[in-house]
Amino acid sequence: MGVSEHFPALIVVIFFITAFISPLLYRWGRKFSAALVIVTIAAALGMTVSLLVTVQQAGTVFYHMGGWPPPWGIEFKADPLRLFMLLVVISVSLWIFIFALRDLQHELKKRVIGWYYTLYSILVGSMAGIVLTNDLFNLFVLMEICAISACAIISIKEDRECLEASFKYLILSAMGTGCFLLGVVMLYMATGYLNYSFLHLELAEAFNYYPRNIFTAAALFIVAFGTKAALFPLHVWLPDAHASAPSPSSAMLSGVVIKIYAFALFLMFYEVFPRTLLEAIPLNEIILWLAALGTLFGSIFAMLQSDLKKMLAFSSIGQIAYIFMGIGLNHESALVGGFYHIMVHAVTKAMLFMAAGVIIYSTGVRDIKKLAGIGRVLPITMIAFTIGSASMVGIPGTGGLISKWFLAISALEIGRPVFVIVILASSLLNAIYYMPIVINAFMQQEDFKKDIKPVPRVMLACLVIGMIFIVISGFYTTPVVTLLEQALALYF
Amino acid sequence: MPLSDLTRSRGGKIPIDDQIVRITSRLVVPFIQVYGIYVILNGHLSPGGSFSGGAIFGASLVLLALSFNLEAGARQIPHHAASLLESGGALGYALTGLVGVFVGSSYLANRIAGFPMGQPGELFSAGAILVITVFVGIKVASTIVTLFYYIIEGEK
Amino acid sequence: MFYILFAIFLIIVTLFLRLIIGVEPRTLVTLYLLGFIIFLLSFTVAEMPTFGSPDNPAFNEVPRRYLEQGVAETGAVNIVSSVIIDYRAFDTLGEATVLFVAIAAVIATLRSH
Repeated sequence: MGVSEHFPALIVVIFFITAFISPLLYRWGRKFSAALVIVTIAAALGMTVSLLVTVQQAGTVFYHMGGWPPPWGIEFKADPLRLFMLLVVISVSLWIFIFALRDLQHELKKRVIGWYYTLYSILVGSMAGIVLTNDLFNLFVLMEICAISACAIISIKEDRECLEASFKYLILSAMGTGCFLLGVVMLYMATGYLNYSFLHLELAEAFNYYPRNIFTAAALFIVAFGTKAALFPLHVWLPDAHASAPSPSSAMLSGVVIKIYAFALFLMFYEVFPRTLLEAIPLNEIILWLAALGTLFGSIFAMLQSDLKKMLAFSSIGQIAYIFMGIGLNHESALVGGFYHIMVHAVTKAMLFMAAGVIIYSTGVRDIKKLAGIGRVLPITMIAFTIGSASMVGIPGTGGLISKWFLAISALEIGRPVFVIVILASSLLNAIYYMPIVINAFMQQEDFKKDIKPVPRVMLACLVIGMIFIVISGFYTTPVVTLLEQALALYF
Repeated sequence: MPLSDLTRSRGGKIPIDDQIVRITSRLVVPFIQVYGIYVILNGHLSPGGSFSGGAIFGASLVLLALSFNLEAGARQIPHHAASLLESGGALGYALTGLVGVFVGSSYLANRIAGFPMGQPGELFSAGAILVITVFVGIKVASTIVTLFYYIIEGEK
Repeated sequence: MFYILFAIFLIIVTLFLRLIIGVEPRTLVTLYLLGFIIFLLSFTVAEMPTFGSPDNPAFNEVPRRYLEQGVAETGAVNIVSSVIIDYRAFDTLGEATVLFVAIAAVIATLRSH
């Protein structure tokens, strides 16, 4: 096998090594560190694909850090589901980074752009680690790294609002991390293990002796990951943070980072806690109803916004709730829908933030009302915005429909049609705030009066890639759905 | 008044301008530094280790800067050297882990990667643990120094 | 009986805080919610296995191997070091990275403002 058996560790570690090297490279110039980060992400992408091929042929791969077997050492696990997440995370990061190369030059001061690359690389590495790790304490450490670097890519912008928003985010996510650590301690006291697989076996028995501990731990996990992933009543930090950040950071945070925590919550419920616990206390019902409220309220709040990026940020609260709904429905095809939505929404929301970034770059307009007629001056950008909006609403031919379709079908299958109504209502609400922007942008007769800066080709190319992907994901769904069905069959 | 205002009002000089403080710290600092190095190097033998030893060593440099002035402290460990050590320490840790990959055992492996284990209880024993402890010690010390300078100088 | 006494106690405390000290109603609600969370958590912690007792679930084969074979397997006499830098070395790499990213965040934020 050679070096390929070390891929699970290397995928995470190369990002850290890149981040450690890149400050040394600044002295020779920013271009080197940018190139280094791109090479690293591309290498990680290659490793992920090769690992996915191996896993599909030979089954789940386990990797033992330092050669110590699981209950003693840290274990990494690569199963099809995690590799799917990893593929989404790393490829979307690569795409956003290419966009960032041009966009950052006007949003940040020259002397901090190099540090942005460092922080970005650490952020991607920690997310890859969160996906791959099979150990609760390791997850905690990686969550810390992820939280700090995510705050830093907001506060790096020279803007009072950014500082305030990132401070709020830092405090709330530190609170989430604290809740998580408390839960880990409780589980460790009750079982003596930190490894997911060992915990899963041991908790079924320990639940008889320490029911309150384990229940509290589960509740703390919901609070911790709910805060970090902006589940409805815990979303207060998200709109400011995502709206004031530089556009690539917004795309990264809204597109990828919040989904990582939703995925971690999924792992807690399906890999750590035993089925008996979820049958004894209907925790997934709580998640389900919060998610249902989130889809509705996220959209209602979004309607009230006048700032373009703030509207997109509120829309993220509604969209992440679909993923939680998939977890809460506790049904295989609902989870297929949830994971499909992770992929589609990662691309769509990142693309919408990129489009907003292009609009701000070229015209400086952030107000939704002033966007009338902009479709005539920035056609490609607004076509991308239109396709993104269509996917958010769930219009046929876009990826957004597929995930909602799976969710609705499974809600019907397990006899809970009320959630179909929720999905339909929130789609309608989405249409109410996305469509006027699109219609005004193209149909308004008046000329757009602002000065227009020409948009760099790289940025437009990124938008075009996003558009193509969204349309493909709306028609050609079989490979991903088959992969997800195979991967999720392991949990049921 | 925050420390950064104090430094700025005196043209970059810390207002502690006292003979007793200077002479005492000049006497004490070498001992603190030796003690820090001792704690780092004995991480695998006695309580303490990289984090605490690095913090002690870093604190000695901070003490030096506080009792003299920022320039004297900065001469001891200049900015770019601190950030170089900072990256270098972390990089050394990650690369020590890679030895396991090249040998073919596992990332961050110690004994099975063929590090010389030595006699337990001696200074040069425990293979990768000693190497990693030294790297993390350097990293923690330079972290403290870098943080101190950046926060005290504000923007630079 | 106990519950009635407790309710009377709560009412007296509320009145005292509101009328005599003059605490805002909003703060009062926060205080009671905090008190409720503290109650719930101590209720949970009371159920935990006794700390340090030899028949804890946490005292299983994991710490046993650390203690009995740690010196032979890692060569470090200090068991804490052998756990954090050998058995669970990746966590410590993570902690070193936390330090690094904290510095990077501070430098980036201070330089941009």
